[in-house]
Amino acid sequence: MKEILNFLEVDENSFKNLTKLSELQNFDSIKKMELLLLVEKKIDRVLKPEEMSMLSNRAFLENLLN
Amino acid sequence: MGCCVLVTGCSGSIGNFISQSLHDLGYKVVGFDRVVLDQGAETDYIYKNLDLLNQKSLELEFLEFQTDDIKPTILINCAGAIHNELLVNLFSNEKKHSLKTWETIISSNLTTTFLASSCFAEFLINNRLSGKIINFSSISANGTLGQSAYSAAKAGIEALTKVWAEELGPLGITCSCIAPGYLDTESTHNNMTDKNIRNIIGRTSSRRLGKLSELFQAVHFLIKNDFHNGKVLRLDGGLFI
Repeated sequence: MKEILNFLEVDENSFKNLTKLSELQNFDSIKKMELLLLVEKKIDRVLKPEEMSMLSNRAFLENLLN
Repeated sequence: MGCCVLVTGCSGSIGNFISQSLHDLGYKVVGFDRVVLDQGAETDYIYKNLDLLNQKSLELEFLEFQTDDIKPTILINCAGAIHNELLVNLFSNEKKHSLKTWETIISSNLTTTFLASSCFAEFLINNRLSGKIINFSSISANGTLGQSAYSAAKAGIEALTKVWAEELGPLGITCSCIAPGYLDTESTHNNMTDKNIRNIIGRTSSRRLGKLSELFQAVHFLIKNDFHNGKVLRLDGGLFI
C-alpha cells in the first residue's frame, strides 16, 4: 500500500478521506493507466474490465490491495 | 535474440535493408507493406501485404498477434514516400503544389506512422508489454526547398515522437526517431541529379553519402538502448552542424 500511496503522492490520512482518486489534483488519464499497471504487478494478475472501471474508487482500490 | 520487430514499409530500400539485417541478427521480423511481392519473390522475414492507411486491416493484424506466438515489441515506422514539388511554379501545368500530392505524401509518411503506432501501442498496453517505437524522420524535417509536403510530414513525425515519449513512457513504451541525411540508396539517386549529389557531398563534413549499414547501426543502437526516449538521432555525416 505504501508504494501506491507514494505513487499517488498522498499520505494515508488524506487517502482515507478520498472517495474517488480523481479528487487528487494530479490524477489524470496517464496516471490512471500507470496505477493500473502498478496494481496488477502488486496483485500479480490482470484486472477484469469491470474491475478496471472501479479502479479510481478509493474503497475498491484499498480492498483490492488488502 | 527472441525479440520480435515489426517494420512498416518493408519493401522500400531502407525498410527491406533493416528487416533483412535484423533477421540476420536473429530477430523475428514481421514486415508490413502495401506492395505485393513479385510472383516467386520471397523474403527471409514474414512479409504481410497490407494497406497501412486502412485502420481496420491494421487492427485485424494486431488482433491476430494476440493469439499468435508472434508478439512484436518493437515497431519501426519506415513507410513513406518522397516527393519534390514547388509551392508555386508558373512553368508547370498546375502552377501550384497539387492538393492531391500533398495529401498523398502526408498520408504515406505521417498518417501511416500515426495509425501503425496507435494500433501497436494499444496492442502492447492490452498485453501488458513494454516496447519501443522507432520513427523515421529526415533532414528535411528542418525544411527542404521543393519539399513542402515531405518536410511537413517529417517535422510532424518528430513532434509525434516527443508526444508519444511523454504519453507512453510512463507505461513502459519508449519512442525514438532517426533523421537520416543523404544515403547512398536507389531513392537518393532516383530523386537527385548527379550534380546535386556532388553538391551535397561537398557540403557534408564527412564528404560522402551515408551507407545503409551505418543507418542500420543507428537503428540497432535504438533497439538496444532503453533510455533513448523522445529524441531525434540525427545521422547526416555532419551536413548540418
